[in-house]
Amino acid sequence: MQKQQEIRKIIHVDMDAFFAAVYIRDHPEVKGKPVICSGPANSRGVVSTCNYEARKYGIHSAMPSFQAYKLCPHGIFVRPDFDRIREASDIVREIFYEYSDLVEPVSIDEAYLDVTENKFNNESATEIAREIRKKIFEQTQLTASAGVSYNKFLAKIASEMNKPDGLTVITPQKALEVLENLPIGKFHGIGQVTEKRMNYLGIRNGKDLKERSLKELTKHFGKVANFYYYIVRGIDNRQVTTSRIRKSLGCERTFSKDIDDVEEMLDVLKTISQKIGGKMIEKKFKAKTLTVKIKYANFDVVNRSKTLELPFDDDKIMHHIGRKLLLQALGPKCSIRLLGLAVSNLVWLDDESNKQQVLPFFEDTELVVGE
Amino acid sequence: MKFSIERQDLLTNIQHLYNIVPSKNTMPILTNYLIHADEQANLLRFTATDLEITVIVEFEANIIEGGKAAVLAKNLNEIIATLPDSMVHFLLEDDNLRIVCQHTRFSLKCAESSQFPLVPQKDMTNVIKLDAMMFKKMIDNTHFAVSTEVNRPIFTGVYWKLMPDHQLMVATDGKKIAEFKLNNVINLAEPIEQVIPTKGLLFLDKVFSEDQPEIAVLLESNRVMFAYGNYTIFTHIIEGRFPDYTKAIPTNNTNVLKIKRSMLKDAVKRVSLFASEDTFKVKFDIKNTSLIIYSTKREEGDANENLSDYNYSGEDLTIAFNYRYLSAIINVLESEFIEIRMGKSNEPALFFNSEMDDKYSARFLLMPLRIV
Repeated sequence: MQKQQEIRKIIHVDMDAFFAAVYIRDHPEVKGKPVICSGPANSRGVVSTCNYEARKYGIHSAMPSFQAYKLCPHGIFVRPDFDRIREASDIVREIFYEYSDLVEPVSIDEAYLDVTENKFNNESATEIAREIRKKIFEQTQLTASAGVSYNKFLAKIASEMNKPDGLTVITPQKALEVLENLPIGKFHGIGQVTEKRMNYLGIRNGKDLKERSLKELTKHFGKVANFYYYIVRGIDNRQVTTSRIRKSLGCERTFSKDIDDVEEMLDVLKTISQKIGGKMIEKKFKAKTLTVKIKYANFDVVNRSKTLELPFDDDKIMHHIGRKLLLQALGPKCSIRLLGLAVSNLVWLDDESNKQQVLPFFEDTELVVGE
Repeated sequence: MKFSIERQDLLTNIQHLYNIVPSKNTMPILTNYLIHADEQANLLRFTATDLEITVIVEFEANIIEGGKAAVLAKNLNEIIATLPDSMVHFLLEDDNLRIVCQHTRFSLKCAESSQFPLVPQKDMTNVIKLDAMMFKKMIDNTHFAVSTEVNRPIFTGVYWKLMPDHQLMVATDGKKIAEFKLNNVINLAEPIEQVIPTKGLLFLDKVFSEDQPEIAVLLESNRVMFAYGNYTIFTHIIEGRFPDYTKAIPTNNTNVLKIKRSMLKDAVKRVSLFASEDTFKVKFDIKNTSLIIYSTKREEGDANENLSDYNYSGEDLTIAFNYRYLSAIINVLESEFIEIRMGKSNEPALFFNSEMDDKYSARFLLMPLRIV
């Protein structure tokens, strides 16, 4: 007998005006003003993100910055700080993994989670979404919008319905109604061009779309018609595909001011080592490779790695090796803006089978750590 | 400083020296060779060091004027490698070393030679003389088993013990042990044991040649000197006590497999093509009636070899090894047939040459992969 297919629980999380929000968090003096992430105002770049204050002026992502400048000359045009952005994104991603390993990052500020089975055996995806949003805010002081439903498409629609800082649930009972009323341009995968063609065919919303036969849609849109046909009926079987079993774990610190004091760097290194070590013990894995990442004040980046024969999870070892690697990479009077540590080549401890056994006298030999 | 030498002579003598030059640039002076032209002895001396190991190679040349210079090892190597086979003339003028060969001239900027670390003096008064080829054999049989783990430095070298009637070399990384025992009489005041870093031993291993049957060794409390042919090698020793590894070697392994070495070697090589890249696992199903070696690579396929020509006495046994370690051991074993003595699936296995030479013996231990 075939197992009855369980209704999935999918969450889509989208950080609100992410790049701009990170900037505003780090520069509280601009809060409440229109902030536009792009190159300098009036330059040839495009807007990557802007906050909601700026959106009131009609500014949106991908708009050329000179145009944005025309719309809002008193706006604050800033260059996004990618180190801070990545740091926040990593923290957010770690929060996701606390709940489920089925995490599909779509971009730096957006991800799908399948929490049908989750690490807390929590039946309620809505509650999980609420907790995730809360944790994100506590750990990054940034807000995220979340959508909860039974497939990816609906979860994404849901997360967009209450932006910013919102949480929307589309239950199976509500799904068809939501879809019928959805303007055609809001359907996933329907861009401006397709939207125009749909409009030309008299399809303005989900209800119109649903009235068309698969045959007719295929005639106009080819293969992809299949997808439109099914999603408007609330059917989207795309899985949340995780591109990874975890391959690495890293942690970075960007300093508010560039630092050149080696002792200070080593302190930070120690904190990061402890943080990673704690996580490794908690998640039950060890690693064989340690990488130190340094970004110098001039934005040059170097990575220095060391691979050990035996897997480690001891923060003292990581600090010791990290220290060596860091000192090797530092020139005299070197000023740095970012310091990071990552472990890779992971070994999962619960996987006892196939494990290379080690003679006891070797493991009993004391570790020499320190100079 | 002024001297001349045939390009081929120079190349032969310094070709291995570059292995000593540190690749990581911690102290810039160490990226140089120290060249010393000794006018009185009519000898050229090239020195390279990474502070832990120092190698001096000394050979004849036509010395016109003595002196010292420090030049970038990389530059000099590349120059010598590309020059035609002909006489090469060297002349130090101020801070530049001029090199002339046929129609080519180079001028190399020199470093301050006095910055080069002090080169230890070769002292042959109390040396022990050993059979060089047997010494090479000892190195070959053991060095592959050393650990690369920096946090347990004692295992990153080869343990060497000299007794009046035998020598012992041992290396281990906790997963395998290689032990080689050589029966010979040495004139020793007292037994000596040291842990020698592999870099020095591997250098020796490269330069050993049949023409030079003897190696001289001077063991001191903090370093060892080897004098071999044109080379003098000073290496630091690794401090600490080498643990008693013998306790880990089982004495009652009763599952004994005898098999032709070349046959096992080839079979493992083939089956390892489908060993997982995480564990390098090849598995053995051993019975009196059949011997199967197999591997599986998830999503790619599997390999299976059924061997018939073997001799096994013991219980039915399934045991898995990391094929890289296994191959390393099979490679250093040398007799036509080898003997593998095993206990249970998760217990250490021992490897021997079947036909023993009474001059020496070797044994190897390999920890299997855990089977649950």
